[in-house]
Amino acid sequence: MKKYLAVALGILTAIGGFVDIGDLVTNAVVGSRFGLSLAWVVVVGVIGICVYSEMSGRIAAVSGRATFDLVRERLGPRVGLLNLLASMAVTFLTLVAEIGGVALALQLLSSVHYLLVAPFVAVLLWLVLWRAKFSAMENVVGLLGLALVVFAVALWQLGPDWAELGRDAVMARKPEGESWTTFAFYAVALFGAAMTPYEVFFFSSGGVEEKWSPEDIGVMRANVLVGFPLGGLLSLAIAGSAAVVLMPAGVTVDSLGQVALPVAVALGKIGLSVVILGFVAATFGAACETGLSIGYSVAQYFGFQWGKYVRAGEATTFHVIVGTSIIAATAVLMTTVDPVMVTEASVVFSALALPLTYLPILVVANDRDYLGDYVNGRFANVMGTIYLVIIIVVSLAAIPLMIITGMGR
Amino acid sequence: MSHEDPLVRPDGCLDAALQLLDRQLVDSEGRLAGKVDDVELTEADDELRVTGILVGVPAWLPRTGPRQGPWWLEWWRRLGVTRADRTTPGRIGIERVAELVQEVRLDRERDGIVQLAPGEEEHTGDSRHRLGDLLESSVTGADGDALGHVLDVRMAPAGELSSGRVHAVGLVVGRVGRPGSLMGYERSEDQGPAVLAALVHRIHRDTTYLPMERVARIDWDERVVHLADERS
Repeated sequence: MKKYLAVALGILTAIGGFVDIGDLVTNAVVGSRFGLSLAWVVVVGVIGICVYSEMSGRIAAVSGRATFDLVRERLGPRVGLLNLLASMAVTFLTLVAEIGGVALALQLLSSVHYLLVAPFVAVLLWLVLWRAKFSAMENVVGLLGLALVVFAVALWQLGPDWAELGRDAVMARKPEGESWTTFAFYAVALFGAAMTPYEVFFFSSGGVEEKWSPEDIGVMRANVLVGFPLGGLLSLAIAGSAAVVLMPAGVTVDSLGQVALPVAVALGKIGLSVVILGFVAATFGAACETGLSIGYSVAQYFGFQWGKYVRAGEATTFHVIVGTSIIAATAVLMTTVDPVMVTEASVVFSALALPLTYLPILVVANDRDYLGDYVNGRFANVMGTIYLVIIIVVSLAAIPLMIITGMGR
Repeated sequence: MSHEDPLVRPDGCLDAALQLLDRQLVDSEGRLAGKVDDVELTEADDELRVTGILVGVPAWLPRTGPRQGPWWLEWWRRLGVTRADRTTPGRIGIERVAELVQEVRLDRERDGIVQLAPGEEEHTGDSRHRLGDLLESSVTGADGDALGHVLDVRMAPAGELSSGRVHAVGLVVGRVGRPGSLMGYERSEDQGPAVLAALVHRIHRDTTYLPMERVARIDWDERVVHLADERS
C-alpha cells in the first residue's frame, strides 16, 4: 500500500512540477495565435523529456552520477566548462523568469506591484532552499501545482467544438494570418518549454538526493512515463483554452493575467483564485528547481559537496552558490526587465543548449562500466537516436529563427 | 573493428583519461571531496607509475587547453601574487585510494586530506609529471614523422591503484579528436546507439594503440613522445 502511495505521489508531483512559467506563457501565446495547430510539438517535446529523464534517472539510480558529473567525465574539463557556462546561463535566465512569475502571480492576487513583491519572494525562496526538507519541498509545491488542472476544467466548461479543435491539432492547420517562419519559431519555443534542460539536472540530482537504487527504477519510470505526459496534457489544456477564448477575441498574450483570462471567463472568480494558486505553486516550485539546479551543476563540475541530503554546513559552497544565484536573479528582475519577455527568451535558449547535456547522457546510458545490465535496450536507443537528431536540428534552427522572426513578432 | 583490435581494452587494464581523470572523489563517509583534476605520474624503474591525485585550481586550469590553460593559470597567479604555492596543486597520495569504481573512494574522511604537492623549485630534475601534460603531447616516429597525439594512456594492473604499482602500459594515439573523445566506444563493438558508435569509429579510424615498449623517450618540456625504431 505504501508503495502505491509513493508511486501516486510521485506521479502527482510530476504532473504539478511539469508546468512552469515557460510552459504557461508559451502555451498561452501559441494557443492565442495558432490555436491547437502546434499541439504536435507538445507531444514530441513530452516524449522527448520522457526519453531524456528516463535515461538520466536510470543512471542516477544505478551509478549515483548526476548530469554534470557525466558531462565532465565524458566531455573533459574544457568542453565541460563551456557546457557548464552555457547551461548555467540558460538556467539562470529561467530562474529570473520563475521568480518574476511568482511575483506577477502575487500581483494578480494582491494588486501590489510585482517589483515590490519580488524581494520577499526571493527571501522566501532562499529560506526554503536552505532549510526545508527536499521531499517536503517537492511534494508541497508539486501537489499545489495540480491546481492548474483548472485549465482543463475551464476548457471543458467552455464547451468548444471538439471536432474542430481536434482537426486543428491533428492536421497542424496553421492560421492564415501567420507565416511559416513564426510557426517554426513557436515550434522551437514550445519544444524548449517542454524539454527544459534544468528539469533533467534537477530530476537526476533529485534521484541522488533521494538515494535511489536500482530497485527504484520502476517507480521512477512510472513517475516519468505517466506523470510527464499528464503534465503535457495540462500544457495542451492551457493552449486549448487560450485558443477558444483569446484567439477569436484577437487578444495577444503579453502578461500572466492574460494567461489566466480563459479560466476567469469560464469559471469566474473561483476559477481565477484557483488558477492563481496554481501559478504561484508552479512558478515557485520551478524557482526552487532552477535555483538548486544552478548549484547542482557547478558543484558536480567541480566535485564539491552538493545536495540537501547533507546538512547545509557540510555543503557550504553549494549553498553559497544557490544563495548568490537568487540574489543575482532578483537583481536582474529589479532592472524592470519584462519577466514575460525573459520567459520567452529562456525557452528558446533552452532549445539551443539542449544537445550539450543530452549527448553525454545518451553515451553513458549505453556504457556498461556505469550501468552494467541496466544499459539502454534497443527501444531506448532507437528513441534516443531519433531525439538526438531532433534536438540537434531544433538547436541549430533556434537562433536563425529568432533573428528572422524578431522573437516571433 | 575486429576483436583482435588492439584498441579494445583488455581485462585488467584501465584507460586513465576515460576512467580515472575527472572522476568524483568520495571520502570514507560518502561525502564528496572534489574531482580528479589531474594525476601525478612518477618515473621509476623505467616505468611511469601513478603516485597521486592532483586537485584544485592549479591542477584543473592547465587542462582547459594547451594555449588557454597557461594563460588562465597566469591570471590565477596574479590574483594572489604573494603566495609561493599559488600555482602548486593539491595532492592526495595514491595510497589514500580505497577503491576505484565510477567514483574514486578514499580511505578516510575528507577534512584536511589534500596536501600541497611538492613545488617545482624543490625538485630540479624532477621525476614527477602530470597525466594532463602527457595527454597534450604529440607523438613522433623514429624518422621524425608526426603520428598524431596522445588520446589516452592505458594502465595496469587496474584493480590495485592504491598499491602504487599501476603504471602506463601503452598509449592510444590518434590524429584527430582530443583526450577522451573516443567516449568509451573503443572498448567494445556493441556499445550503442549504433549511429553514434559508427560515427566515433569513423572519426577515429586512424587511431591506434602503441605499447610503451615502442616509446623511446618522453620530452616533458616540449610535450613530445619520441618513438623507438620499429625494428629494434
